Amino acid sequence: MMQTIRLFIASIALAAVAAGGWFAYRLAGPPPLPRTATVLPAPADLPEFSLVDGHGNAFDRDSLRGSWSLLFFGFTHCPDVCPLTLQALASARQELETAGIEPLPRIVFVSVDPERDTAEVVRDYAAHFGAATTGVTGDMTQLRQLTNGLGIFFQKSNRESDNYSVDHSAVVLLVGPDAKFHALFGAPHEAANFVHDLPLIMASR
Amino acid sequence: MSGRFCILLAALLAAACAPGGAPLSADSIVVTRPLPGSGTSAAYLTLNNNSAEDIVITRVVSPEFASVAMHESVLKDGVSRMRPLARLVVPAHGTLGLEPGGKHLMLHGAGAASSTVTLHFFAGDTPLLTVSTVLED
Repeated sequence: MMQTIRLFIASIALAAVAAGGWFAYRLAGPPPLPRTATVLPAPADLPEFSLVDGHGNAFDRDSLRGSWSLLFFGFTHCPDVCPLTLQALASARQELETAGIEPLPRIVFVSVDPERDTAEVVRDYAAHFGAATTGVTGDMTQLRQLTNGLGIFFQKSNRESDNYSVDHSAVVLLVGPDAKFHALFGAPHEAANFVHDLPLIMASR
Repeated sequence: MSGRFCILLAALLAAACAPGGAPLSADSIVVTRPLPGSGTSAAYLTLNNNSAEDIVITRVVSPEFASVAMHESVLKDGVSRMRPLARLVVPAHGTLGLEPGGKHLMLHGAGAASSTVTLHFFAGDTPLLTVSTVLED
């Protein structure tokens, strides 16, 4: 008889725990998912490349190891989309820092216009968006090696003019401390989307 | 900034924004400070056509910059493209917004450091509108 009562009580307790869990799930909802980022099922290797940063130091795949990085490909003579994107990234990083989120990603601006964007130019340009932004430029062959491996498109337009433009992919890539490609954000870019998605992605990897 | 210059700037702004006066007026004017390195700026504003005819702007000049180009940023298939525009059409009794990520003015070749910028809008050689504003970060 006692054994039957114990079993009954245990069943009730188990059911209560299950019901509590179910209610908690319903109240809290499922775990939040990234709002705009596309997260790769498994991190992808970056191609080998060798560029330079704004100070003339080598910038290669190993330079991306050790911290999360947001990579954006653009050119400094772009007055509209490029500064808007870099400003959105800088604002997002600032908001994450204010909220006490760690780790904080750094921002890497890779010029797709090495003809005009010398190391000095990308250094000054990147500094405009804060100390966490690094400007990168270099040899066209090496640049193609990186962009082709990541599916980043760029091409000069109205090339007959000295004041040419460069068509380029507007995506922002998230590279992990393992120097692997983890996620991408499609344009147009808003700081709020990065603020929402980055902590989720970084915590899940 | 001298008092005379302030008065001139205020007069220009008033003329640019006065409703019902000139056929073309402007508001919500933002011109970004030239970016370090490339020295390019972008201008965004709303153009208001107070007349019954379309107004066609064919060029914009600024004494503070070597060139001003009318551009449109287009995002298609994930690729950002910036295209020069030969003209800007402000519809009769309508507005045309020059906005981030869309139609805008690209200013290049900033001269001596200045905290203000003036934009002259033309239809051919005919002046249409002059606006002045303070550069923004």
